[in-house]
Amino acid sequence: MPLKILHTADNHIGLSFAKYPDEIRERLVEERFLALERLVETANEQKVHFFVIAGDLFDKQTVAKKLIKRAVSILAKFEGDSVLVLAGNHDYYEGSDNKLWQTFTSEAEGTCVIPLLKQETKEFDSDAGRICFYACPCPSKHSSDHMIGWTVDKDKAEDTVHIGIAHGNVEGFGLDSDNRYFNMSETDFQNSGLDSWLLGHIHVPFPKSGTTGNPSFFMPGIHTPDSIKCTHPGYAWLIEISESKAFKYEPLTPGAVRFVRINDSLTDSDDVQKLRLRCEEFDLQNTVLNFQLEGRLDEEGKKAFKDLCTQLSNECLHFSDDSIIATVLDAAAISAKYPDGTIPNSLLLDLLNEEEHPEDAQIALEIMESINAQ
Amino acid sequence: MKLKHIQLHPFGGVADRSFTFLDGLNVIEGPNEFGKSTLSNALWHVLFTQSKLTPSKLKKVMGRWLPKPSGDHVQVSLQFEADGESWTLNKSWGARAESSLEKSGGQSIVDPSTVQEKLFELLQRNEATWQHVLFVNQAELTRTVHALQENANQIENIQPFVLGAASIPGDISADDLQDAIDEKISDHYGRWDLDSDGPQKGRGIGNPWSVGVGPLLSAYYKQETVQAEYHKVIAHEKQVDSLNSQIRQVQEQLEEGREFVETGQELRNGLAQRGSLEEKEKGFEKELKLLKKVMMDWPGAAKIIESKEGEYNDVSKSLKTIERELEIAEQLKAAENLKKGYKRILDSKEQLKAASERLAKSNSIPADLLSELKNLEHKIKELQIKLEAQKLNASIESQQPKQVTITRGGEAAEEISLNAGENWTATADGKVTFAFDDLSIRVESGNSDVNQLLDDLQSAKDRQQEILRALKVDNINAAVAADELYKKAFAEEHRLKGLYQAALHDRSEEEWKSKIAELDALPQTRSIEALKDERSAAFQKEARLKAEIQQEKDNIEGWTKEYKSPDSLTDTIINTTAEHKVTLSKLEKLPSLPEGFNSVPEYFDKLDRKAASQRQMQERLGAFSIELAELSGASPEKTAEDLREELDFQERAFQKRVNEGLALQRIKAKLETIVANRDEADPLANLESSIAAYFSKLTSNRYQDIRLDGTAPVEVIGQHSFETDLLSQGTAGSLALATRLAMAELYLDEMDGFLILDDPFTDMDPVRRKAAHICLGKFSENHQVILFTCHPEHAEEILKLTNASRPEMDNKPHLGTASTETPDSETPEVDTGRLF
Repeated sequence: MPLKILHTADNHIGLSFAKYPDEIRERLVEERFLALERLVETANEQKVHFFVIAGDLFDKQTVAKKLIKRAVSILAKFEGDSVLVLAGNHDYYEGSDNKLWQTFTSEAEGTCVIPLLKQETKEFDSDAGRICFYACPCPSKHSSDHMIGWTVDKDKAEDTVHIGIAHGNVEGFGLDSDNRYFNMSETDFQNSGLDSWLLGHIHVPFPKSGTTGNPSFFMPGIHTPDSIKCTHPGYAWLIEISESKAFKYEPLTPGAVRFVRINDSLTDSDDVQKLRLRCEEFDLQNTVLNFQLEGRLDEEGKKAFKDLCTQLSNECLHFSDDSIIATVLDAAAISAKYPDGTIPNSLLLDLLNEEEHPEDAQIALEIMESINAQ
Repeated sequence: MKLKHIQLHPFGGVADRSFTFLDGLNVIEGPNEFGKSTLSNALWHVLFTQSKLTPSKLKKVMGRWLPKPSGDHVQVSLQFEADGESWTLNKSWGARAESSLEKSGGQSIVDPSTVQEKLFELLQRNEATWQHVLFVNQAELTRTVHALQENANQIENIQPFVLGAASIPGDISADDLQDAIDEKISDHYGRWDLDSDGPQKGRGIGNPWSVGVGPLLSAYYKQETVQAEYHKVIAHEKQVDSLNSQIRQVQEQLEEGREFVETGQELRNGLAQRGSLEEKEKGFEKELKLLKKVMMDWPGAAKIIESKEGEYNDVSKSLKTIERELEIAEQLKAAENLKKGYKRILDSKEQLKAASERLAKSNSIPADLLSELKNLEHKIKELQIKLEAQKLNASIESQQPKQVTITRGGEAAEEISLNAGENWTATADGKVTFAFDDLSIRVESGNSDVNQLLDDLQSAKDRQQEILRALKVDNINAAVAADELYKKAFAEEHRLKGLYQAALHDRSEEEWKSKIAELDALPQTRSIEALKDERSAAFQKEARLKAEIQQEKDNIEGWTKEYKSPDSLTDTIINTTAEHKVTLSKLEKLPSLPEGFNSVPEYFDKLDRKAASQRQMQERLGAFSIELAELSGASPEKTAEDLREELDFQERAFQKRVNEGLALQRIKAKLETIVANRDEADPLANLESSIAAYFSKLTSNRYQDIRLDGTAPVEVIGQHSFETDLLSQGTAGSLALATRLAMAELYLDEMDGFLILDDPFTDMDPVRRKAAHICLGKFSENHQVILFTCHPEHAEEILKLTNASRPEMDNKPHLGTASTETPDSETPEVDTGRLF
């Protein structure tokens, strides 16, 4: 029987989504718990032995107690051996006075949920074999040094699966130009002598492809999208380790909400129609959709675009439009509005010829239209 | 819009009155109480005042038209034609406030706002245009020019109208466009300093502008605010990171020392006992060592003293022998010196003897004879000098060889042989004598007695020879030398006598001989130096032995005092050894000292220092935790990641505003170029010519042209040209009417509309008034005009000169004496301040 691990991270419970309207905000806050619940349910269905959260279960140190309690109560429903919860850089553990982890530890007492707050090994004899976890929690939000070095000198029995749990950036994978996020490298993983590492921090999954092999590390990515920057549906890993320490892994997608930003360019009504079709492919009721479109449309195209925006406002979980769509301006359109010989006509046509600043004609037109509106 | 019929029921002092208007010029003439002002106000309010008013506005706007004393509403009904349709408008204000507008055969609009919107649509010109151009009261006619200037911003743009057929709907004049762009730029850069490219007066978000802030500065403030917040959050995060790092370090240090301190506390009691026992054990060990040594030394001490005392005595004897030998050695050394002294005596004696012999052989020159010799020598030299002073030059020559004896001065005669013809010359002192053959020639100096001198000289020389002979010397120099030699020998003999006496040292030579003989009899010894070295070594040995003997004696005295006897000392050793064993046994049972320490105190010292350090670190940790809690409590609501995203957005927004500003400036520059390059006719020329045409008629062609500044006339041009400010009241009135008619004509062009004039010609003389009536008649051919006048003759004249008509009036009685009807003689007033 293979040893099964469900690996998630960066759940960021406690994210406030303050910029959204109340009803959307509540939905997004709730989604973080619901997606976690779905993961626990999947883990139970799959008879997973260990449920590992590799940091940032919580978004910040000041998460409300009731949210912590709720998170623990969800995790406590896990029916496998243990839930191992590592302190990440958002929910770091600097010492015994940490209120977040005091609450968590207190709530987890008597359950299968084990906080990993110190550099230590946790060894288990599961019915699928012996496994030793190497906990490398974050003691602060930032650090130029990673926390996994201590594992190198530990004795490692051959009949045991050795899995590190850490949180931070991985060189060449995430972005950490300032070296502030516990940056680790492939060499560090190799030097550790462990069979693999379960990591958190980067919000996209790794390995990027494949289902078997012995990756030096796994990164699950965020379990359900948290912002418009997240372009995937949210992932977690279901990992199986055979007696010969061969790995088999498959991605889980527990998220139900998507964030989508479309930043195309529109040139005519056909583009608007294509945009409509593209939007209709989304599960709009569970989609936070944002347009950052640009381009120029004629009056007909603008009306179609406006109609689409109205429709999406009604159908999406949340819709926002930050597009900058100019009106198509050409000599004919200008002359239709301002006949040849008029000052507006001359000015607009001159501006239209300014290739470096095509927006100038549009701005001038708006000024003219505001004069006429008066 | 063309007015057809109006009913006031009630309005002001009018209970119910109707007027029916015709096309063209309608003249309403009546006395002051007739209600012209009421009618014109009713016309204004039904067209422009909403029926739904707040109580305070009702009181302010319509209050004066509520029937007195207790009327609670006013109502006006108006029938008109517009947009090719007939319309019926009803409005009431006050208790029964309502509005309705109904197109003939159409549905009625009753919503007050919708009614008003529709009315504005049908009126086609805005309210200000109607108020300032098309409703003209008596007083305002002459203010036409000023009124147009004052309300230029409210009145509809005249540009399209003056262009007439050339006008393009929606076209914008260069001035308007420039104004709009300037306004846009001004607004965009509100409180922005283009030179410093920042807020005016450098007022950033710490002291921001609140009024007049343009979109650019607003975006800048937003960006700066987010940036400040972002930096604050970053600083906060760094502070938290730093604190966490310190906490971590302290915790690691605590962890490092924890086991040592905890183990140490457990070992403390046992090790404390070990410490004191170890000290005790060391004491026993030391004491036993001492006791054993005493035990060893005590029995042999007496023999050592005896032995050392014997040795001491030997050394003392030896020392005395050495001293005796040294004494003789020193005497022998003195004898050698004595011999040297005796030898010096003998040497001196020999030298003295030789000196005495040299003195005896010396010639003693009597001092008187030596003195006389020196005097004679002196005298001889003086006489010789005197003779030399009487020197004679002698010369002889013989013809024949001849022997001549010549005597010169006091010298001896000399023989010379002269050859024939040979000349002989010589000198002589004082006299010379030549003798030859028998002839003797004597020549003497005639200056003194030469002979005496010669005699004296000879006498002196003789005495000199006599003394020299007596002294047995050849000359005076020899006499002087003999005298000096004698004196030297005498002095030498005297000196050596002294030395001899000194060498004797008051002893006789015999005594010297006797003493030397005595010392020569002493025995021989070693050298003084060797004897002194030996004596010194003996002294040292003697002192050492003495000290050692004393030490041994002291030891015995001390041991006796301390231990009484060697037997007693043995008992003490046995007891101490037993106690030592007990102590060692106890030590074996106590915990041993951890490795790396040489003693319990050393270990305790380190343990105490570690424990103190742990306490300090614990305190520091506590302080850090409090600080961290405070920092966490003050955690910014937004995270750095959120703010970075927001900052990116605000930076983009600000940049967008910057680009907009630049775009506006480019547009402005472009427009200026276009305007500068255009050779465009004055768009107001039509208005100018239209006013000029009316004005020419009104002044009987006295002025043919005018000049406008904007839409206001500033100069009239005819045979004489005048600035408008200098015109007479009558001419100014004519110009005002011309301007009003020309502008009304432009604004009413291609639309149904009306012009209302309230006694506009009161101040004109008959000639001007007649011309004005004719012009008005001409104007009314195309537009409906309602003219109020309280002058019957004016009404009659205009009716006569034009196609004017009097409107039909359903004349119902007034409401009563409480009417607020304004007397016709007064200027009609509307408390809104906007009508007439």
